[in-house]
Amino acid sequence: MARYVELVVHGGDRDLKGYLGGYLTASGTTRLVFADDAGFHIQHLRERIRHHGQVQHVIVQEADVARVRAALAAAEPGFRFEIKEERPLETAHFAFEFETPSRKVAGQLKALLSNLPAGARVEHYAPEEKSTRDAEGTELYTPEHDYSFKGRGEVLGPVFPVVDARAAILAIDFTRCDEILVDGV
Amino acid sequence: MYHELGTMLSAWWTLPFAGMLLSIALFPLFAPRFWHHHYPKVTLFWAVALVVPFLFLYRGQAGHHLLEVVVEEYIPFLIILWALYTVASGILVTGSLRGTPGQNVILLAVGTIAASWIGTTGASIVLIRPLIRAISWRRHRAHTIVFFIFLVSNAGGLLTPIGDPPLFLGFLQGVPFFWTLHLFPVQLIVALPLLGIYYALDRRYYRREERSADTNAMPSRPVGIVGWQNLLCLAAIVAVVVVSGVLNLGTVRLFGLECAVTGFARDGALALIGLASLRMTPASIHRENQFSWGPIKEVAILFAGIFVTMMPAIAILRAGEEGALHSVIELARAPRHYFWLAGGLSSFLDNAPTYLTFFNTALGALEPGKAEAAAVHDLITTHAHYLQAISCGAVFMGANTYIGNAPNFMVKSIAEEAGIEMPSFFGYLFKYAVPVLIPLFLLVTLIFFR
Repeated sequence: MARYVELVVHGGDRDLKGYLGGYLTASGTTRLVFADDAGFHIQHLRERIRHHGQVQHVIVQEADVARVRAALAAAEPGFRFEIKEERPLETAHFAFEFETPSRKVAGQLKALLSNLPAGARVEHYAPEEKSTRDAEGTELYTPEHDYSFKGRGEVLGPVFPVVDARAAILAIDFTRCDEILVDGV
Repeated sequence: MYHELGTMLSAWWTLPFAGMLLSIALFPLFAPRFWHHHYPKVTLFWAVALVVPFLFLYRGQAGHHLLEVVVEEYIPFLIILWALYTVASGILVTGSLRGTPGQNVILLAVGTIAASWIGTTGASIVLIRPLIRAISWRRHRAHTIVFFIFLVSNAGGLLTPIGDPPLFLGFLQGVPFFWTLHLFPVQLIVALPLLGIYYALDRRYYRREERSADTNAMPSRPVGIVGWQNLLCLAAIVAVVVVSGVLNLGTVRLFGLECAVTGFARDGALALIGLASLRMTPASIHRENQFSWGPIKEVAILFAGIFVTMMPAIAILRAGEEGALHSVIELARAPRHYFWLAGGLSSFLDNAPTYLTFFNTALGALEPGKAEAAAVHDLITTHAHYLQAISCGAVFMGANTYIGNAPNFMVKSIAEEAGIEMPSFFGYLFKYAVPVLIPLFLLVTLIFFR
């Protein structure tokens, strides 16, 4: 199973994203994820106090961590990037829920949840689909949808597939996702 | 007679009316399933709660009022809505626009203009699906539907009695057909900034959205209209209503009521136009527009309850300062008060009865004791600003919430079923209505109703 490392880096949000974004393009590093953009649960205030300033969480595959470390060390001193912590990660998970009156959206959700990014899987999933024939048609004063598809569940798996699954679910209307929680090694 | 009865009734008689309006406002929000299945029973409950004691205590006088309301207000109101709904449902806009900010603004502007001539419900039915098709590929879509509700389902209906049910009720009370055209400057002050704000917002989203090469290369299918014969039917409806406002064919006595023959002729002609539209319209157009009698059935049942329960409130308000609701009349002194009171209530209750309530408040306050025709004539000649304020408040502020005007909920429901996630009740109110509409209404107050 792919292993990941979470780097807690001291430095400005825009500086770090710009610098590592450029580095990513130039170095051939497969991928890195900024935890706040991807929807990870982060205790901002506590970390700010602990590390005396703004920190960013960058998640990379284990194979890339040495290159990212080197890149941060090679940055202009003015940026003041400093790795404060490193945590090995393996898996992550998040809860999701949805409720839609749209058959089209229901089709998209069914397709996505049965074909999540490789490695991610759904658990505790209990969808409920209902059609109400007597609510068909257009209503002015007594609106009720003739169809409903709702459900909730949890997506688990290696970190990057879980990140991709959350983004894909949120790209569909009528969905809600909790923050991603990581499981250390 | 209204005046006489109005001085005798206590404010308690308005409770069934309040219950009826609150049922329409609150059940769809808090118990939609119950409401969908049991609204006729709820309506019957409120109607019986009023009619039984009303007839028992005031016998002949109450019976006369009941008959007057049914023959002169409820039936004509239902027939025009039925005719407009039938004819508008026979018009299908085909093809597809590309959903760019510029094209969306054009569609919203066309809908705003059309709403005064085919009704806000008709314009919403005809244009909401083409709009949804056009924006189907866009990531941010809910704001477009919200501005459609602001413009097409509400503000657009201001210029004629056909545009919005409250204005047709005004027409039935004697307001001339073309009187509402005087409100065009007010409509411009609301509609132009709304189109401008929408364009700026949509352009901002549009620039942030990633477009695939396929989407950029996608040609828009030319837009066309199927069901041209129904445009002729619409023109006929307008002509019939206009002529009925100026033609006098005398009166006939019916169950003790003095009824205008022109009114019967108008209702008969409208019914014929509706039937002709049904006969001429291919089934495929109705199928595409998902036409059913459901909305008209709802209007028929709910407005039966509204018109019946509204009788005491109207009578009391007509009595002016001699009536039990004199505190409402004292509250509304200047046009700006009427604009905000009629508008504020129209935001949460159906705007047609709200309009009629404040129309009668104005009659009671400004023209007390006069016969209806003379009172309405004096209201629109010497106190025109008051009626303008009531009309604008009732029409514009129906857009403040989903429950302010019937087409709002219909548009929301059609958009959701097409896969567009709409804001919640409070999301709509606080993200869109309060920041966008309320400043515009303040501007309208400053310019027109100070």
